[in-house]
Amino acid sequence: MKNSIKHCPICKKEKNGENTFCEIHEKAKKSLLEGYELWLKAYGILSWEAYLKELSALDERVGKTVKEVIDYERFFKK
Amino acid sequence: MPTSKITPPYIIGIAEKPQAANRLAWAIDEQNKPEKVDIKGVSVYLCKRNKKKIIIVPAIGHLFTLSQIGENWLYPALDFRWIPTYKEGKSKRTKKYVEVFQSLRNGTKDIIIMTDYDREGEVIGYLILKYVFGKENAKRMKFSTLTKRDINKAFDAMEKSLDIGFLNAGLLRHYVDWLYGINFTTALSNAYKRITGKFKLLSIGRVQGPTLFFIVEREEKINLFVPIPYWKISAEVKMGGNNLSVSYFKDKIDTLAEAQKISSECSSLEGTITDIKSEEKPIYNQPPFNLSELQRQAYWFFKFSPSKTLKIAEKLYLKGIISYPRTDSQKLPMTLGHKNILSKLSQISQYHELTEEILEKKKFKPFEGKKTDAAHPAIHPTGLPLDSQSTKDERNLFDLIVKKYLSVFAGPGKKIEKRIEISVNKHIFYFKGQELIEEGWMRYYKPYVSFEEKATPNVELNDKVIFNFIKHEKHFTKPPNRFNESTLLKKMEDEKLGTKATRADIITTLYTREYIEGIEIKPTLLGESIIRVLLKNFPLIITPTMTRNLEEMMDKIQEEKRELKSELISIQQELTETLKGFHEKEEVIGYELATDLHSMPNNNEQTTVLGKCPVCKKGELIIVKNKKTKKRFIACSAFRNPKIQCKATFPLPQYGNIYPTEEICEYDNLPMIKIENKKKTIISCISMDCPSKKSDKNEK
Repeated sequence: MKNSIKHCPICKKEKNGENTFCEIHEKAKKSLLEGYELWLKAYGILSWEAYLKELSALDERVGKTVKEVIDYERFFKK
Repeated sequence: MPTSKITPPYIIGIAEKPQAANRLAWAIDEQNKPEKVDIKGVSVYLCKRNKKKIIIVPAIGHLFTLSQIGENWLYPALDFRWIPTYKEGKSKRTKKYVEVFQSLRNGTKDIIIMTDYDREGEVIGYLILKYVFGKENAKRMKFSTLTKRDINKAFDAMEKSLDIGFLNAGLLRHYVDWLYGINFTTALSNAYKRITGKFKLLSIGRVQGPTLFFIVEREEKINLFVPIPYWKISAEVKMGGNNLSVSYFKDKIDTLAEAQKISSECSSLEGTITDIKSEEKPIYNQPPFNLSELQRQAYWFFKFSPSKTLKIAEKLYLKGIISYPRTDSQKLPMTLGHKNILSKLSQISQYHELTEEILEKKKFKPFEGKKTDAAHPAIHPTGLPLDSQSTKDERNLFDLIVKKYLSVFAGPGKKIEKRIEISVNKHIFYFKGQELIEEGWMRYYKPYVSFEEKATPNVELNDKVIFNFIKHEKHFTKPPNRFNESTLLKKMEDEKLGTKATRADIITTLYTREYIEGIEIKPTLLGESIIRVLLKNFPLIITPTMTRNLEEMMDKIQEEKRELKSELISIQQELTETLKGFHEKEEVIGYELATDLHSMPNNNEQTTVLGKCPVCKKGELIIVKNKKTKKRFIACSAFRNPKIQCKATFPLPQYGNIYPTEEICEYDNLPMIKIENKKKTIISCISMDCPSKKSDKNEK
């Protein structure tokens, strides 16, 4: 119970209702999900984890806020 | 008091700047030898013309500014007056210029306004006329260059009145900018102070807001960008004895499977030429420079910021070397006397050869663009050479302006585009080449234009072509580019934000106020926060629609289709309504700003949550420390939220560790906490009045 339930786990800003993240990180997650659809179409088969790993390797070409969500999804979510 | 050399009566000529006064005086004096007189350290010029005494006195831009009537830092602030700029504590050097005009007031029998002919020039002249000489109108000289020819023409054909359309449009811009600037700056700063207790100047202006919005919006797109893979087919062929790169007919392949399929289907490595096309195409000329295009190209070629370009162009104008630079026009009317200008330019050695070519052709009708300006033609050289003291930057900009001017007298260039189509197993590849056959205008605009020729091999239809290789390469889509000063200026122009005269200054102001940073422009935390908060609560202030409508209104006032007074009243009414709404949301806005700017008290402290607040049912009970006494207690997290401001608090023992338990007290439904110290550990309800505690005491 050390962390507030109503704060974004990435930036600690307040978040709305049932959302996982604050407004901007929610947008980044949406962008990440939309990107996954296109990557899946491009490669045919691609797991979510592999997709995140590939994006991490692209580094500076990925938006800063998206990168924060990727790191959260890969290393902190569990 | 006038000096001994200046005896009344005389005519006063009001010039916009000291250097302009000098050039005006030189041209207006019959002998071209005006007498320079020093008053309070300001040079004024005594000229004689048609047996009349004319004293040309310079201003130094605006000598008057708008000032609030009433108490500062309250809004809405709707009442203002014009006062000398130095009395506002700004631009102290303007004081002596005001005093020079005042000292010459009594002997004045007539006044001629000789400021730059545009909205600002009209306002500068009018304010001196009204607040120094107590007059509403005067004669007006209108000119676009500070050459002897143009000045004398303007003097002989001077108007009997100021341009009222220009004046009113200019005045309205000042009023509106002042009203929006002072009110929203006050409102934002007050909102921040109300929550944090600290003063921070948070300013936003009518044009600044939407401009900053573009930058923040772009940065968000970059931050949310996910690169998407795509493939390109690259191939090299042996054709006409050369190894040449050819491109697949589809620029981008969206899937790896398709890219692999193409590579494998083309693996026969032999193609056939199935089509050869050759087409002559014109290379169209570009219109003459208006200020925006000059600023863009100067940024591109010399990396000059838009404000630097304007500054240099103004210097060249004041020296009489180029025409007035604050223009939207892409027109160069024949009345400018192009033959005369070109003849003068041909005397400058570096332009001699090119200008002689144009003069020989005797074709002096320039190529023009569509944009017009009510006051001035496109930027052009006057024919005068640069002086020996000119800087490298001045020489560069002058060269760009001259070359552009020369290029508009030439026709379009011509090129031949050739395309060879190669088919391999139903897949199409192209080789594209181009050859220049006529330079046209490009000859005169070098080195600012170049043409890359690509020779096409000599081949025929049905010839076989050997592929050296065909392969697919992975690429990724790229995020949008950040704005630089040049592209931001273009965006402002496209969105009709600001005027050609103000755009560059607005970008500079955004830097000065630390809302943006970098050559590739990024918003700072402060800039981002202001936009985020205003977008959420008052999008009208930062979206371009409102300010664009105001620009259109100013145009209508300039064309005298609308009245200044009634428009001003309606703007004040609208503003009052908007500010009323702002006032109601002041706390919410202040709270959001403070949170964004990390100015909330205890912002970085880790929060211990004990459970739901029983009072407001929205916030959570958390442990907080009083900043002054350092004593801890339980409070509701919603006490910082202006919409809720829950005042629920519970005391805590000051020693030992406190832990949440997730248990609820069976007596009053409040959270239970674990209190741990060296001697004992107890589980207790947070309330001092809990019946469980009373029953404990009774039992003891």
